[in-house]
Amino acid sequence: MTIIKSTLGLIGALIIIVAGCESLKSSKPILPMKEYEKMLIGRLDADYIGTRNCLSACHYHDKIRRDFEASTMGAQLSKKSGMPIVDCESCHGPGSLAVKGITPERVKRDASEGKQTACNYRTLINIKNLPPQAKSLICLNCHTANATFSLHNWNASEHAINDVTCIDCHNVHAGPDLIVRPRDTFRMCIKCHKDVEAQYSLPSHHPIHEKRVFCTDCHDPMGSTNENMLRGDSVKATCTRCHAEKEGPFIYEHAENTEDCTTCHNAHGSINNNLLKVQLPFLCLQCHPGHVISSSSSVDDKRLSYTRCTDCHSQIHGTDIPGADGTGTFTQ
Amino acid sequence: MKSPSIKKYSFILIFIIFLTANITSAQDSGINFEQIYSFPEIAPATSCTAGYRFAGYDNSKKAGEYEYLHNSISAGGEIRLFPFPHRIHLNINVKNRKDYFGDLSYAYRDIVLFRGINRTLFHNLDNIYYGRSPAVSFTEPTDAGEEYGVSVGISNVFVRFKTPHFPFHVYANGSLIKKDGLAQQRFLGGAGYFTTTVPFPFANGRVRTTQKRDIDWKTTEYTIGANGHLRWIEADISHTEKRFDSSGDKVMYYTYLPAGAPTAGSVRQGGTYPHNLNPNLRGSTNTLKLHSSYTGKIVASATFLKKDRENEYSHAKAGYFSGAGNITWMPLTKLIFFIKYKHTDRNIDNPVSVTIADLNNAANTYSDTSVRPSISSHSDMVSLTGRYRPVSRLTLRANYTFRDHRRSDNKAWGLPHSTQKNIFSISGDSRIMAGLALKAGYTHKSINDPAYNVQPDRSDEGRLSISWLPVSRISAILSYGIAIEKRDHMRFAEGPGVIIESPGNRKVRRDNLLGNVSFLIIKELSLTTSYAYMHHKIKEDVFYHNTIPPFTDANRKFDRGVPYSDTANSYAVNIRYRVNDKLNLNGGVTHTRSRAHFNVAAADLTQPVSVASFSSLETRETSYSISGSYTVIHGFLVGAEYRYSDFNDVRDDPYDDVKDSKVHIIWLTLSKKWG
Repeated sequence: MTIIKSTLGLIGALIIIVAGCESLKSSKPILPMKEYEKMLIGRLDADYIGTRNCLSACHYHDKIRRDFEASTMGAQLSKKSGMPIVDCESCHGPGSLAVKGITPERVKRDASEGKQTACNYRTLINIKNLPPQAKSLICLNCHTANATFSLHNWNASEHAINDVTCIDCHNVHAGPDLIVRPRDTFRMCIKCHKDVEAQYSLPSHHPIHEKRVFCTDCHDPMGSTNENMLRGDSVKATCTRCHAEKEGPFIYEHAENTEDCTTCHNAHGSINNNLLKVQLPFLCLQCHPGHVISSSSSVDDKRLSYTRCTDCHSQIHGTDIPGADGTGTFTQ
Repeated sequence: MKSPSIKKYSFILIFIIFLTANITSAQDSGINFEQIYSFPEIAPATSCTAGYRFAGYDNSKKAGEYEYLHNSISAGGEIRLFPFPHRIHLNINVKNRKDYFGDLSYAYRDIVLFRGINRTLFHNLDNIYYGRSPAVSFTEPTDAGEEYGVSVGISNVFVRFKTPHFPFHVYANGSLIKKDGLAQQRFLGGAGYFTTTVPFPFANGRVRTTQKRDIDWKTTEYTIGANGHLRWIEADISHTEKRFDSSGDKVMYYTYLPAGAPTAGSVRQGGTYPHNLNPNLRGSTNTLKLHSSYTGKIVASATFLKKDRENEYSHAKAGYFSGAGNITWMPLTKLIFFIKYKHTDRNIDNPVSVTIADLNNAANTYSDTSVRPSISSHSDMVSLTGRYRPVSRLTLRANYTFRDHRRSDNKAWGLPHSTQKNIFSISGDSRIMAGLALKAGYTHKSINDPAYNVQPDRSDEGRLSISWLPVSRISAILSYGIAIEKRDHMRFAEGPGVIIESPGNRKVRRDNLLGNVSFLIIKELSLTTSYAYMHHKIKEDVFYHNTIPPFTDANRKFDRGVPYSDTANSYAVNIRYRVNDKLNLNGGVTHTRSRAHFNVAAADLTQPVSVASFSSLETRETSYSISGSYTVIHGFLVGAEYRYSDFNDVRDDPYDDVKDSKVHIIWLTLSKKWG
């Protein structure tokens, strides 16, 4: 029955998609981009003149243009015109006012004198001084209608709420590869998350300095349905992407604690081994009674029962083998 | 729990992409794009590096926890090719045979996108020393002198196909995580448990034991999916299969002593029984995502996820469902509301009984016929955030979040049926003047019926952060955060469903102070200094019994208000100097001091020795690094790096899990760049 339900559900969804594909040819941006238009207020008198016309005025940005056109964004050609869908004016706004009065003769003359012909760049959109949301809207203007599901939870994400913008992480003019390299993410993230950087200086930490684990392994900087923008659908789902041996389910579960690994572990770093939040045995004594102990217990007895609980309770994340006392004590 | 195979989904998705590709091509305008537009010509850029790495260590490998500490040849390189409409980028970095990184991406127009990343590292693991003979201290180490470590390889592959000229994608995503090596397995040996037949104080009923374990684990996860733009909404569906396969020492065996009979039917004869089993696990996930335009006045998205997991050994099963959505509403350009909702169901179905058998005598079995049912739960979370920007220099935010978590089978665990959390937070940031920015935030939580002692009844958290650029060459950040949690009457589970409340309360305080100052001394020389202080303090009752069962009020003891604290101070200095166009130098020193301790007062816990003394911690870790590169001629670059780390176990307790360690690494490289 589950198979039938799943298959029917999938087929139903696919029918919707196929039907939807037919509407794509006539599709336009879904809703009026009022905010984007507001962003352009003051420059509605300008005209779009095309990247080539604009850059031919000075050629100063030719390398940037070339890199951009070599990127995935630049590689998309219009079905109608055969020209790139995204160009300089897509973000910087119409360029006619910027090159007003600049003639090929003047450019040539300036070049012969060894100087660059300056355009009136102040008439372009001043991206640097836009409100954070408007900066992101420049990107979202196109990425709203291209089924970019990495942005699925962007609008209500912690980053969006806290004024982080697309260009804080993506340098559109860095080169033809616009995608952020995962190895660079730690350096980028700690620009804001200094507290996390400090935690990674503690003795127990994930190998993030070695660039073998990335911030984006656990966090989706573009938003998720989970707290702290975790990539999995829960804390456990995030951690067990790599630590799958602890995912379970098991016959003996540690109540609900393994659903939230952060009950016991600090994922970013700890002074205690295994990223434990608190030294053993105090970590366990926060919730559990200590073993039977008295002033007549020997030193060895005390050391046995009050050092590292996980020496004996080594299957603390769950097990299928009973402890010999008949309950799930995670000792075997 | 079973779901259609990934092959079936793949077939359907391939069918869809063919169908949509045909729809598109049938309506193609026939434009020959290359005649109108030509892609730019970019010369290939390549580089390669070869080198040698000297690595050594003293005592333990802790200071180089993630380093494969053997001398090795290293190599690397990068290739960027743009034979349009193809784009290829390859980056490889090999430190040694256990530590390497590779990143390959390929794109054809905007139609095909491929990314493959492999990263492999070696994780040095502890061999915790038990030291003395079993007769004295109830320990039974069998792996003295063994060196442990696991090679961890993570491979991710992503490929996406897009139909030409409109956004319909079919994609596949795969990951393979392999862990291979040796680890120390610690477990309870001897009779394997505390038996009532063993007189108190304990004799030979229990033994802390160690064995060498062969780790050979493989986690595979494959996703296929499709997404498209459907006029009013965009939709994405995907199916994921996940497996965890355990090889090597999947299960371990130990010859246990006979155990007594604390409860009827729980007698275990002496024999060789399994322990520390790592079962194979499998599962699948179906996900549907829908969202509206990102740029409208109202933006909405929804995610539905159904997931199942099954333990192939015990056949314990888990099913998850979650439905989450958010709406962003912008009534004014200065004011935005963010509304989020998430519902989660978690259903766990674990067997009620389990039997294990003696490896050498199948007649000797041991059963538990009354396994506690695992906790299933349903939870709802709703969150409302408002953001108001009255002026461009000031942003204010307020959030209210409510969570309701309801459990079933909670009585067997002595947990409340439901727990509700109310969270209220406000925050703001302001650019007070040019070069001076301030951020502040406050969060208050109140929790009704917290289930676990580490959850507070109420907590308050505040953070203040200032960033300042007094002059263009100096930038400074100062941040302080404090969190205080309070909990009345902690609940301890004395046995299944038997809860004892402590008379005292629990207080937690966390302080974090961060300071960072960067100086651009001259254009070519920069210096960054930073300091971090992290303090964690807990005060709560410790509950124990001072005689063996039956437990009564007479032998139930609370050591009241036991304080625990841990503190870390971390200092760092980094310097970068670009001497000239050919020579770059970098250097840095990091020093971290850590200590942790708790103080018990009851005579039961302090005589003849305090149990707190077994787990005190005090360490100092210092790392020095210096590196430089020099451009010789014709694109040749010589590089050198030296790193020395000293991890000092100040207490030098031979029984704890912290050991002195010194690691030094020298890395010499020669690189050549083209293009």
